[in-house]
Amino acid sequence: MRTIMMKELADHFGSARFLILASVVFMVSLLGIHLAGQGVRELLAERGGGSLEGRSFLMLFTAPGALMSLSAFMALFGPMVGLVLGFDAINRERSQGTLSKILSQPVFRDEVILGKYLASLATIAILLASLGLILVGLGLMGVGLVPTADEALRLLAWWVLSVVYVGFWLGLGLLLSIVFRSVATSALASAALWILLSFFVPVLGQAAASALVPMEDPQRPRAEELAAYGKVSRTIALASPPALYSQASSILLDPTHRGGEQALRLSTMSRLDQFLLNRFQGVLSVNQSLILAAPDLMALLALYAATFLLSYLAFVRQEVRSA
Amino acid sequence: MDCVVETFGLTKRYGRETVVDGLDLAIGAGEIFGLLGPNGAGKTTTLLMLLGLSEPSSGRSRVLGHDPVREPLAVKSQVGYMAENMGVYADLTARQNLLFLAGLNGIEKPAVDECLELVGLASVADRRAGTFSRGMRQRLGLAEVLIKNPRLAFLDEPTLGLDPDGIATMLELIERLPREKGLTIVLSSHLLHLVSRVAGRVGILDRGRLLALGTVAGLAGECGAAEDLEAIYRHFLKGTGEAAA
Repeated sequence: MRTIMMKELADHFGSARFLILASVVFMVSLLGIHLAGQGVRELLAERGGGSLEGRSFLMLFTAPGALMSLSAFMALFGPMVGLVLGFDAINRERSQGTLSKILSQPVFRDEVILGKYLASLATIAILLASLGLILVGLGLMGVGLVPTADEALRLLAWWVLSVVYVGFWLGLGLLLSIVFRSVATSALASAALWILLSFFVPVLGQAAASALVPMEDPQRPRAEELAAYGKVSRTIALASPPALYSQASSILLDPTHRGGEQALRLSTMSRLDQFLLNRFQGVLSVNQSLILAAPDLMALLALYAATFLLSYLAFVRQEVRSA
Repeated sequence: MDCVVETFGLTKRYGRETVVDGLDLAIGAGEIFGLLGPNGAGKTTTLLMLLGLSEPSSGRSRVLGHDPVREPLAVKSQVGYMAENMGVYADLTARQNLLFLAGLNGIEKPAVDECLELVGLASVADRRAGTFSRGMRQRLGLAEVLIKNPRLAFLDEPTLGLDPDGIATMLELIERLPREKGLTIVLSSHLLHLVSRVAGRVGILDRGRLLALGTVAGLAGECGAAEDLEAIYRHFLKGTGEAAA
């Protein structure tokens, strides 16, 4: 397995696709942090550092800037990274004629797929870690903010979350590369799945919620109706990894964020209450945020394990014959 | 005779189609055995079953004393397989390709240079395999078989797509191996005159069934034809053609 993993790792880092992927991701992130940095600087100038104590650095990652926040960017482009690294892992070996060669060596099939998987996962982890560190460095220099220990911990947790998230897409890509014999088909299928899971499932959740929970007066919904509506749409959104990831990352990166319940509470409160809540809400500790993010993380891990298990089973049972 | 490969009623079905039908074979140590037959006769399927890469529908086989279904790794660690249309990693050099294969076999100090020397690729050892001609690639494939020090080698259509020079080099190599390395070779081909040049014994396979088995000279006597594999082959294939009709 080590041999396969080392070879795959070397392949990844030497490949043109990794270079393109990394440079695209880096460029967009740099732009993102630049815009977010401007926003944060203005905010700091406006409100003074005191009111944002303990979370100003993290705002570099969550402030929307002109385009989208860095965490939203990860939710959108993370899948691309995972799928691009995984979508042709097995079927390219097959079309190259090297699959039967590897499998006729004294290695278990598990080792082949596991070696490939771990190598790609390591690539992702290294890519995201270096990206994160560069962004932190830019934040230090550009905005002049220093992360507190708390913030550093949150960033670390976010990195783990991001690796799991991209790892899920990697597993999906791997599964497609096993199921489809042609590289072109699996590339198209991964693009389709990305769009489906990222955009349609959340919309589907809202549609299902409005069908299941009819509101008497949509202009002034009652609290119970809103609660039921939120529950249904959130439950369906659980099937959408980007939704899970966005929710978990906003909890992890924003100490004031309290997950799905917060949105509900806000929507049933008067404007003054909302304002007061936002103004005087306490900051959660890292522990508390982790606990809040745990359900999302668990759901993500479960999806991740399921895709990996499926690809594993599919690969172990597959016929070797290329024809 | 010391048998390295034995099959007993080996059968493979895909759906209702029987690809290999009750194959009984015995191949001795140090032999060059030619598995002959037209395309789709079941040659590759037979080799895959002997390697444990494909599971037989019924029947069993023993390869070097192991059952490929139950102990695939024991078989794979001693048997080299060169697939038809086998590929190499185009981005790696010939040497890196060999080192990777050696790594998969857990060989600590692989004799990379020696293997490359043997197949005549020593001068291009550090060139990317993607730049190799078909003949060179095929020889690299042979080196990849040899790097694991196998006792038995399955070569599936080793001369496919090679020019006459390439074919001559390949056959010469194949002929030397049993003498120099004590290797047993099973090679499959539909190109009969080539096989007859190197193989001691041949088995003629058509639609999954073994039609004839023996030395080229022996088979010639059996059908009263000249000692020309082509004629023998036609003789046996015609038999089944008529039976089918």
